[in-house]
Amino acid sequence: MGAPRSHRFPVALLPLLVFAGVLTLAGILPSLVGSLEGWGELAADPRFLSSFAFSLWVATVSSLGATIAGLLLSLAIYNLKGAQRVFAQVYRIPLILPHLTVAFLTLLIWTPSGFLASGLHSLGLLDDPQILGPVLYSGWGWGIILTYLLKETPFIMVLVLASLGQMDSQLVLAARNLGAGRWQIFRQVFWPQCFGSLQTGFIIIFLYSLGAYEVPFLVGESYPPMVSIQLYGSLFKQDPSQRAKALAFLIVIFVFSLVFLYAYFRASKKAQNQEDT
Amino acid sequence: MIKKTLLFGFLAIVFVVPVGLLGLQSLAGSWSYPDLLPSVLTMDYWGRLVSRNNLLIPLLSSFLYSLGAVLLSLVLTLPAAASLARDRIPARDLWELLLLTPAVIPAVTTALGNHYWLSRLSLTDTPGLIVVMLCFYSYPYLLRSLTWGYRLLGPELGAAARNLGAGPVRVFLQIELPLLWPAIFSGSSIVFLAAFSDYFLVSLFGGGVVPSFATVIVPALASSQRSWASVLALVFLLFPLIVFAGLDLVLNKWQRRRSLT
Repeated sequence: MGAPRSHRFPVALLPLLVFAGVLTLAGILPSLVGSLEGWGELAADPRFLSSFAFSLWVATVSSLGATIAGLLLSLAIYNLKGAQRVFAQVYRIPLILPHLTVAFLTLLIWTPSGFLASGLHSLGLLDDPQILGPVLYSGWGWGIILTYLLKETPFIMVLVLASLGQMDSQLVLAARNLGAGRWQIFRQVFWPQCFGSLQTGFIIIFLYSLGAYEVPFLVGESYPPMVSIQLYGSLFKQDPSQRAKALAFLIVIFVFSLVFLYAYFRASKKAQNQEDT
Repeated sequence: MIKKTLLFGFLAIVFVVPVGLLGLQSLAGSWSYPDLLPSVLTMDYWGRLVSRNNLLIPLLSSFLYSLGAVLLSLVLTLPAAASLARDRIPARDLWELLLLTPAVIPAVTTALGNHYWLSRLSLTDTPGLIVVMLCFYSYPYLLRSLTWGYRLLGPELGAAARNLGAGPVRVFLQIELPLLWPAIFSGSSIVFLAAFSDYFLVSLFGGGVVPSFATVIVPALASSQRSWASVLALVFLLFPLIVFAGLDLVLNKWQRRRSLT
């Protein structure tokens, strides 16, 4: 038992594989069959296209923003000591907040009659609170983006801080002694150390924000809808003639996510191989 | 020094103030623009929590189906994680990736398809199905945590126990379980949290028939009753934390008593 067991495929994996495999296939195959007549219609319907484009926009902006903010904040706090280090742990708070709660916070803070407007007004910085109106209702999805930024930045920080924790802290000192500037230290010490976690984190939050339902349901504009809202709406609320088209759209999202995930897997494998050689 | 002040100011404003705001809003009798603070503070909305005892059933139901999702995930992932960590599996990375996909690929895609045939078979709107579906979309967190746990644990201790004549059940209960406990606890809490705070899957597969705290609070969160919504949002947030803290306390005590005997 000490040495790895045989080369046969292990039986212990089977229950989970069957469970996950059945629910994935049973979730996709009926939609694939039902979508057959919908592909032509899908291509001709701008609503689905704009929903997909809008979701890509929201997912890209929020995930890139959270990744960059997460990296910068991690670098700012990873070296803190004592009480400062303890205080910096407040970054973990949003991790335990449900997405629904964070979306509700976005509403509390950013509506024209919300907390930010009152705060800015009392500082004398805001006369007309309606200036904040476009944040939630411009059709650009800023409410969704702000929610994901608050929720996912700490997630990136956890991953980045974990990989920074594995780093030999002498490295930075050595680089500095050898005359490296701040940018060079970032580029040659921190970046290679964090890159893997940034990549993993980005993929996870990108695909999550692309397809999740809760946040757009609470803070999304009515048009354009995120893909989840569009799918749910056209499969449950509208007339049956939309069905095949919506199922074709569902297949598009599924395949897109799979390809995206697989591309990431290949890229990270390649990076690993390069590291090993 | 100025840089540090700015940093901590930023961290406080972004990560602490919003939750504080939730607490303040839950106590606000009236709070409207442009007041920086509520003009009237009241416990009325918290009182409503007690007087409207119709929240107890949804809360209990959410707790039970989330617990169910954790238990089912544990049963499915414990053997798989041990195998992923120890066995020589052809193309292991790919299998690992495949097993993680349910949590990463947008849930709407597979959930709507599953709902279609399950509703034809009249299997929807049951607590059991909610447990299965919540488990399906969140077991990967536990799998990942346990695989790490098993990797750190290594096979040596188990092998030693086996050589001394312990059976597989005894090895698991007396050697692996105590050492894996941190991985089990952290992975299970993520699954519990994901299940407890889920709205989409629960309303899709529960069809409004299975009581759930999330489906009760969503209309309030979307309404203009901000103070009442804040109370509910805080309960939604605090309830799982209280569960974890209680569990941690009980288990610690139990373990201490066991190590004394």
